[in-house]
Amino acid sequence: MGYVPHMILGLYMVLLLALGIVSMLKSRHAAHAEEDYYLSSRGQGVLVTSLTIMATYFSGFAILTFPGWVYSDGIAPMLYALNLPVAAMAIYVIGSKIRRIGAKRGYITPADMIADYYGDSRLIRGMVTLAGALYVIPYVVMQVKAGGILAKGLFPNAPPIPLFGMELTIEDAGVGVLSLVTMLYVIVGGMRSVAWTDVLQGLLLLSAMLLSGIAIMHALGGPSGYFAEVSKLDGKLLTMPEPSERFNTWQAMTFCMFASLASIVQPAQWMRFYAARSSKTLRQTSIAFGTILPICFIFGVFLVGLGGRALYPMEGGVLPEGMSKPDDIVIKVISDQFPAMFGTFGVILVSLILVAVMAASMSTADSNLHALSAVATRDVYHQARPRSSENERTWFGRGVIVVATIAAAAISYAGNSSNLLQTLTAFFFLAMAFSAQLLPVTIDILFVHRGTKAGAIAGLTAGMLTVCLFPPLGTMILGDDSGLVGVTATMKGLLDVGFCAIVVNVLVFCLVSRFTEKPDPERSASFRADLLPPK
Amino acid sequence: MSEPQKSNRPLVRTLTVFFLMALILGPGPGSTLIDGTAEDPNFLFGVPALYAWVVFWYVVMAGCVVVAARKLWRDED
Repeated sequence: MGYVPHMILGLYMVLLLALGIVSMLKSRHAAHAEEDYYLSSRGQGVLVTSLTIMATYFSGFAILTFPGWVYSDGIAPMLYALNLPVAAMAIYVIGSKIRRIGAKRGYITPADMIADYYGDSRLIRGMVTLAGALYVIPYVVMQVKAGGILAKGLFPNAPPIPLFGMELTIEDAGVGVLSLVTMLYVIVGGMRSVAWTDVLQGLLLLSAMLLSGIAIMHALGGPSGYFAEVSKLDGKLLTMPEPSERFNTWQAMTFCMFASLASIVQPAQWMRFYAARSSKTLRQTSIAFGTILPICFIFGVFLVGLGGRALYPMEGGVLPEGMSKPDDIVIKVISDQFPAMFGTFGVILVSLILVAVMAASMSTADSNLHALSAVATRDVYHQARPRSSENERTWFGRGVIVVATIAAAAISYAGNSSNLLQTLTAFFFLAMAFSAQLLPVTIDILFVHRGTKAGAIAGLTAGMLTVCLFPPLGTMILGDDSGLVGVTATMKGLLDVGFCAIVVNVLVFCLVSRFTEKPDPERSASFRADLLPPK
Repeated sequence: MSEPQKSNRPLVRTLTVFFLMALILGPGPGSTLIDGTAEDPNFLFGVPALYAWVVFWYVVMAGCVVVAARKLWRDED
């Protein structure tokens, strides 16, 4: 491909930095520095809100892992895409209420709202901050690490790069460059630059998903040829697995119900609800999210996974040449098909899609980096220094971004042998289950109004401790031989982990709330009045 | 589904039933009723029945979101 990937990647990086600088110039005259840095002064329109929510919702998982699952396991994993309309519904039903009360009361993080409702206490703010951090921190580290792996995919034959007497592999250089660029545009532009770059990254990602579907259709001779080839596949790939196997029906159902909501109440998405301009913005975002994204999956990358299995069959369980893991199927299909379909333009398209895969990782990393900064500033620093100015807090938040980026890159450089990376990987696999524990308190605050502060703290604690019992975290804490981990491993094979922990969370929340003091009635009534739309 | 005037209640009920039905039947146990067996998978006009099942329930759920957004949810600012 010559220097085409270098030019496209260079152009992409310059565009990201330019968006960061433009957004910094736009925020110079903001009346409230903190609100502008973390929420774009609550003025994001429908295009930006839609694409930043989509880009944050999906990392490289969308274009690599998901089609890889379809390649290795057949149609059953496609059922997981039915979580998208559930998330779309939640964007309006939950998001519009969060937006309204957030605008009226000046909230910036999830803990601002939850602590305000139950009566401000450091304990409940700390629990909510912990649940958010357990989602955000592993995501930042794993996406930074993924950036390095993707750089290796983009330049597979690149020689090591000499730097200060050391030799950097292309993977290490990828981690360094992507971390640096992401850190710079998040620092200078805050939410505005994160959201604007998400628009670029989201458009690249969605186009890549659809284009890869077109490539596989072309390769197999159009829709009729495609399904004729697919019908010859092993019947196990075209039917549901047994209840004890991966991607079974109960796991799919509980995932669709709860993992979608867990991803919607994680800190970065919650802040996007606060940042939306109006209810109308979230209503239109909900329609876009519920229609565009599933189309890109069901008629895009899913077709690649299934058709790829027909085009590049696994002989005796061995992957075909050019694939080291099932996740490589989209890259394999486009690398082989686009140059044949479009000639020189096809080569450019391949590079663009490889950059889009990188963009998918960066758009998740930047959103979570920004959310981590908000959580550290509002829920930790501001609590310790209540008289700090908005400017001081915003600069502290920028410092958090620098430290977090350097730490994430350092952990990536330490490699797979490092204990810290192994621990963070274990947390990463359970990150959604941790953020799902915010769901019961969110539903109580917005709709039910029956819980108490003690109940919320007890429920959150019970839910998060339950998640810790599931592998791989449970195995690290209690060891391989633990009977309890054996039970949770069996449950994990049948049901979504977040769902299991939410059941415990809700039971404890209801039970403790039944016997403890309700929030101050006046405070609660005033909160409920602010939740209602104006007459 | 929305926080609804009396005239909207039948629509709210209908959408809620369809959405929950899609959520339970789609990825849930319903999927094992139509897929056939590994030895003899079912097809619908040449398309694997399980893929058609995913597409069908996606259309139902996305339809519920679009109808709710257009008919029920208000821009209340």
